[in-house]
Amino acid sequence: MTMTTDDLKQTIMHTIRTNRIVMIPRIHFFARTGLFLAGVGLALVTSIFVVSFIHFTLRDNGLLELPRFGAPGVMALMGHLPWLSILFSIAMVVFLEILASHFSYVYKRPLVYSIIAGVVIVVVSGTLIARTSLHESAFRLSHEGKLPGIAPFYQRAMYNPPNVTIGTVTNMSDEHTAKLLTREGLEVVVIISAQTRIPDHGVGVGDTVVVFGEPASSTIHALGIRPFDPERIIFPHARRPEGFGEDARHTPQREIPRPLPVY
Amino acid sequence: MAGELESDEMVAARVQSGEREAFGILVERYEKKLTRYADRFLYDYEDRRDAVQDVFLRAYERIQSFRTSERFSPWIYRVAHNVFVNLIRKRGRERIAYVDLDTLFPGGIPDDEGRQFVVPDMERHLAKLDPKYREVVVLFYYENKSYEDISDILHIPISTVGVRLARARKALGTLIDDYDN
Repeated sequence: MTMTTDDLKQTIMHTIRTNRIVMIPRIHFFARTGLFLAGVGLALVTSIFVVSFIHFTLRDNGLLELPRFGAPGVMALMGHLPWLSILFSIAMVVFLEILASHFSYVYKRPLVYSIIAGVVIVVVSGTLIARTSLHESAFRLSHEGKLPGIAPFYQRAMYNPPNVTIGTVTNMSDEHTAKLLTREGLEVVVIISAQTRIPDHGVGVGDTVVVFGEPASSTIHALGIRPFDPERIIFPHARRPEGFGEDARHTPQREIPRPLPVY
Repeated sequence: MAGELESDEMVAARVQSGEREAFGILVERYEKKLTRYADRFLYDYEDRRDAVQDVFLRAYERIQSFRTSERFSPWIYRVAHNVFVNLIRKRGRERIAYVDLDTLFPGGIPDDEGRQFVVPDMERHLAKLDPKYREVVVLFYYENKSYEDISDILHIPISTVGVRLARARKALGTLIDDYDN
């Protein structure tokens, strides 16, 4: 049956007059927009926080130095990346894009622009925040039991990768052997060979370094050594071992061999 | 009559303020347009006339979401697009993706290819086009919507509107040539 204009109008107006359909109140749409905006904000903040946390843990575990050790370092870094956190961040950016695409400023332009903008904002902001004391403060507070919900999150992230060791050089018996006091308070022997990548200025007693190499009991055959800022370290234990980091520089002077030559 | 002098936006504002009967003016103004849109986009879907009725009912229900500072036409066409696409998905005869790759990257708005189509040729082959191309053809050629309006109706980038139109023209040209041969 073909509906005429009058039929259609009559049917619609009858439905409206008999209240079989009612207007949704304006507050509903305000609330919906507010929810979208809140969702965008929450997704943005969450993804920035996760990215900053990833950056912070990679730096404090010494993993950011690995690419400087060439292809083996890059491969090792790939194996240690927090893939779950990275996937979560990507999911947050996708969620952010889905919510943002409800707004004309976003949907009128190709998605790739808003995706790139989202990724840049998240990565840059996350990197900047990682350089503040936010995560260090949060870790200390959680370690002191003042942020119970977050403690497991930080504890899981602050682990010691097996082939990355951070420590302070306490002794160098010769050009090829150095003793290292790790932040866990262990003493290890670092063997330096012709293949070991070391800084141009060499390595000396008192230097805090990150050593890349697989440990075998308490010996590490170093593939690479890089300086490391001890002030950026967060310890899983309450105190730094005596002789580690800054303490080492203040210990009484011993015979300090010249820095190791570059091979 | 006051209704004839008023813009669609003014009438919509009256409806929003509680004058339910004013909605009848909007029905009169848009019934033919939306029926034409439905007839060409939904072609032989049996319940396309019911879909037009659903569009108006849904528009009334959601009239408070319309911002009177903007134009009413793209808004109600957006409501119609949502109703029609839901119908197509529900019937399952044609596939409409939730996300299209052609919205991902920018595409240059192509120059007019110069080929003109006569209405009977387009009518004959419109139903054979993919829904996403058919819809832009209907909105551009039959409803005389601008690229920007189509972007607002379909919530796709303006450049994608141009890309889809170009592809639709190409597909139509092929269909027409095959038919003529």
